[in-house]
Amino acid sequence: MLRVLVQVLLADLRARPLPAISTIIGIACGLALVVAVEGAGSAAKDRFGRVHEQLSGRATHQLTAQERLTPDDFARVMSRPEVQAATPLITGLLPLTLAGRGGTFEDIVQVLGVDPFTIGDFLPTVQLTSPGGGTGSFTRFLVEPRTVVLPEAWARAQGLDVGDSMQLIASSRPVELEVVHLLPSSPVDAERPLALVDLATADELLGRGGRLDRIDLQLHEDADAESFALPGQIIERPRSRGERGAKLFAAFRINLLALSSLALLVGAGLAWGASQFNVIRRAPLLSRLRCLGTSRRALLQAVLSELALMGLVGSVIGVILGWLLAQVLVDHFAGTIRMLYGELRVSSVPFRPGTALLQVLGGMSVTLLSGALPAWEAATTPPRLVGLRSRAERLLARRVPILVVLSTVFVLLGLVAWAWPSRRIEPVFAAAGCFLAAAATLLPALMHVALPALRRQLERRGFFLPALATGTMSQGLSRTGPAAATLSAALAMALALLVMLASFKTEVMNWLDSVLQADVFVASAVEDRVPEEVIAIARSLPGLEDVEILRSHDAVFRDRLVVVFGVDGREVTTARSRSLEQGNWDEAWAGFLAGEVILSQPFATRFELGLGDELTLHESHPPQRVVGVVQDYALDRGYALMSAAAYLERFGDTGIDNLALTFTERAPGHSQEMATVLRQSLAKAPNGPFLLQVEDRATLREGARAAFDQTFVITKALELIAAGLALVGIANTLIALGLERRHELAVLRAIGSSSRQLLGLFCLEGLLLSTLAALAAIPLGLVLAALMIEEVHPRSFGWTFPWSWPIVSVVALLLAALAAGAIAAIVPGLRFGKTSLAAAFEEQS
Amino acid sequence: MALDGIDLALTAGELVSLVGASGSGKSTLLNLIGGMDRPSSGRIIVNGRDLRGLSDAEAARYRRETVGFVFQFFNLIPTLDVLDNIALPARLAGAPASDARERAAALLDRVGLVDRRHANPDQLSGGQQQRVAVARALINDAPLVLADEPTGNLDRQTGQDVLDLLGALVEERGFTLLLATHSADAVERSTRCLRLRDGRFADES
Repeated sequence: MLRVLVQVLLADLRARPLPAISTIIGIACGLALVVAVEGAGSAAKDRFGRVHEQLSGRATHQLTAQERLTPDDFARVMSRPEVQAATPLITGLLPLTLAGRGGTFEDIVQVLGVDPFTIGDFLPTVQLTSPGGGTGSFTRFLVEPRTVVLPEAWARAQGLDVGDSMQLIASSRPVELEVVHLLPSSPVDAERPLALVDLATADELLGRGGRLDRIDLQLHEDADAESFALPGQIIERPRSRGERGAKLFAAFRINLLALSSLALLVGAGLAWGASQFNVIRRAPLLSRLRCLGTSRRALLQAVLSELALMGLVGSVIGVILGWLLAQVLVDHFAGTIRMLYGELRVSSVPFRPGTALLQVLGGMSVTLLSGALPAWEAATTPPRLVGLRSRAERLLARRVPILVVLSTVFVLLGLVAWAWPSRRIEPVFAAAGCFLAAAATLLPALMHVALPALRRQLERRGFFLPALATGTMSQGLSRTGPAAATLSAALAMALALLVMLASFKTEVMNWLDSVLQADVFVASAVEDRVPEEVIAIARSLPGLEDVEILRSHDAVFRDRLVVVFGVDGREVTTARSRSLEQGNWDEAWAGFLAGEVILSQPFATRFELGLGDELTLHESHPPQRVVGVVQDYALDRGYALMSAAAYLERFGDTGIDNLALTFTERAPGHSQEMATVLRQSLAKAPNGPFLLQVEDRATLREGARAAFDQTFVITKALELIAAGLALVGIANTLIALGLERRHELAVLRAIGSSSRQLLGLFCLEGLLLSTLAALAAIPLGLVLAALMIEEVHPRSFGWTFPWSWPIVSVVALLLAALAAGAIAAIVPGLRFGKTSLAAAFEEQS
Repeated sequence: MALDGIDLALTAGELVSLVGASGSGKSTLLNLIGGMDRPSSGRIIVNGRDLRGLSDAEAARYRRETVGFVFQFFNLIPTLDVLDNIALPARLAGAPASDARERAAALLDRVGLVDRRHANPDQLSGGQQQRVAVARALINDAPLVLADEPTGNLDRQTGQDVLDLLGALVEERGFTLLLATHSADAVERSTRCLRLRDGRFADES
């Protein structure tokens, strides 16, 4: 029986495929976005983690230290019986020029300084005895200094062969290395081309002063790893290093996933609307089937089977579309991650059949869930049709108190999730879900009360078309309520994003203005230090008022690596004071000069530190008191700021990370001019050219603005798609309502309503529906914005920012939604304006 | 072909009944005259105007101003009250709300339902609903009223009341009423009876 029933339903669907197409589009689009964001995010995350893992090869643990490690440390760990193998490493990035090509800058390579005698235990392709094939002499690499081993593919692409020399720029001076061996493949999956050199060469190139960056270890399973770390040293598993990196952008990914889930929710709303539409359109068919003896159960099974089939088609399309979209999205993801967290190159998203199958099953489940209620309505179609619609509406009217109770429960659950004592982000999303559900259940209940009252008022004032439209909305509440709720959810999310982004951007730009007080900024282009002689060159510039030096150093605090900045000028420090979050600036400045410390807000949040707390950033020095907490959006892991004297006393590291130059002339465009002059001076310097970034204030500010906008491009695109799907849902609802009252519409036309008037009526209905959605979206959007600003950002990134009110943008958004609601009504309005009156009345009799 | 070789002329103030078996073409003929359908060939001229050449907007205007409809299933708008249902065609024709309501109230008084002016259609009996539908058909003073089995959904007594009302209104207001019906009572009240068989006029009495 089921097969026959499904055949009947499918034959009907073939004749009028619009609802099926709507369902498939809704599920396919919603699922595609989730699959794309998840796929691209996973690929980026895997890659992020893998880069860290593969550089460590077969290491079970890695030992690092804030002051780097010494050969004695290596000897110490080698003497421990729990050590199966250990190898010292020096790593860093250096610019490459190719000899004989005019010394032009070509690329940046990752230099990996290894001990050829021990590295084979960790990177099997680099073996002393059998270097895994390749060409050239590995033995020369063992005995001759300034020799390099390269991956063959990359070397060939550069036109390098065994015996050729390559030039790296180290400390602004060219250093020539001879290529002695080519490996058949890169021993590690690094983001940059890899150049293997011995430890002595790496030390010379990277200026490590005889120290090691890392010791990779293979320890026995029962070894006490912690006992290997002396004070100021950290031992951890490589995986956790990679995971720590991946966690950095987990919040960014979760935010996008939440938004794409909203798109799926809206897609499910579209599928729900289409299912409702199908039930109405098919009422005569379903009634006849019931007359012919079809049981409710059989009808329910048939409708659900049909729904599952549509879900299958939509999900398969969605997964394929999503995978294709992920290929595009992953590049954007990687770009954002590069901007926020460092180097990452991801070129494609692999297709995983197992995951795809789960995603298809998920899509089918969403389709079945969204169509379950309409399916039940279809199955309970009585053999006699009269009063069917009014029965459904009466049923809904009876459920209004239940909806109010449900809404209250959702609000309470949302508040509990919001107040949940956790720093994790998941309870915040749970709270957002609860508030969305509360709005979705409350809105139909409010419409049940408000629409009849509005209709009475409109009637009393003689606005008969608006009264007619309001009456239609009111009487078709089982259709209009959920449609308005779906659009309201999409609009609320858009509004929340608008407010959050405007607030965030305003604050970031204000903060940038406050920290970018100097005119020209100098930093290394290759994650290196700024050579000392650059200071002298800068000082020779005309009209220079001040040069401020910023130094940074890693430190271990509570077993985690943190960044410490040492600043020698008042200007930079004062600039940061303008965003003082905790403390009084005069006291903070006095404390700062006396050697105390100022924390960035993410640092303070991460370690739960506040004004007056003490922290030890160097074991052999006394703790420092927190004299201020400043807002900062540059590093989401945060930093500690101290005076240059306190910094040098603790870390002794005179290396320079940044220079900030201030000029006496403050005319617009002058800083740009001086940046150009400095670049020219640096190019002509005897020890140049230097690989430095020299930027003026305005360019840096614009770059930051562009980076900010780039970060939120996906967010805005996802939001736009969700709103688009919601509007298709509105059009579907209006078509369904039109079908339900096709006789009424025919009467209107019979008594003289023109097609244009009918179109106007539909547009009014669309406008009313979108107005209700927009009104509900305002409070809901503000609640969601509060969650984003007050919870998501502090919990994800550790920073807070004050609210801004983009009134014009919000009003524009709401007006656009109203207009879109009216526009969505055009298709159904035109359609019903053209139906045959004679046919409509014939159907009635 | 639903209708073939139909040649019909109606004069003002006539009450013409149209009878015939189901499927004989009664409703089709009313739809064609009412501008709700278009003939595949031939012409329909009402008040000197050929309906075939009307655009959609002109057809709507024709239905608004020249004809009034009374349906078997009343077809009142459920979301409007009685007064607004009657006033609706006048409002569609552009009449101000107060004027339309005033005229609607007068007609409501004439059909004996003035005390139900703010009731919703579903609060009325079938006979009352059909009286409202009659009032609605007359609001724009259409010279031609088309009634498709107006008593088909009513009991005999109520049906007779509606026919009495229609007859009286024809006399009072001088419009032409073309009435498709199975009812002998309706035929008795008509000035002319047209019989349709298989889409053609069989005879005239």
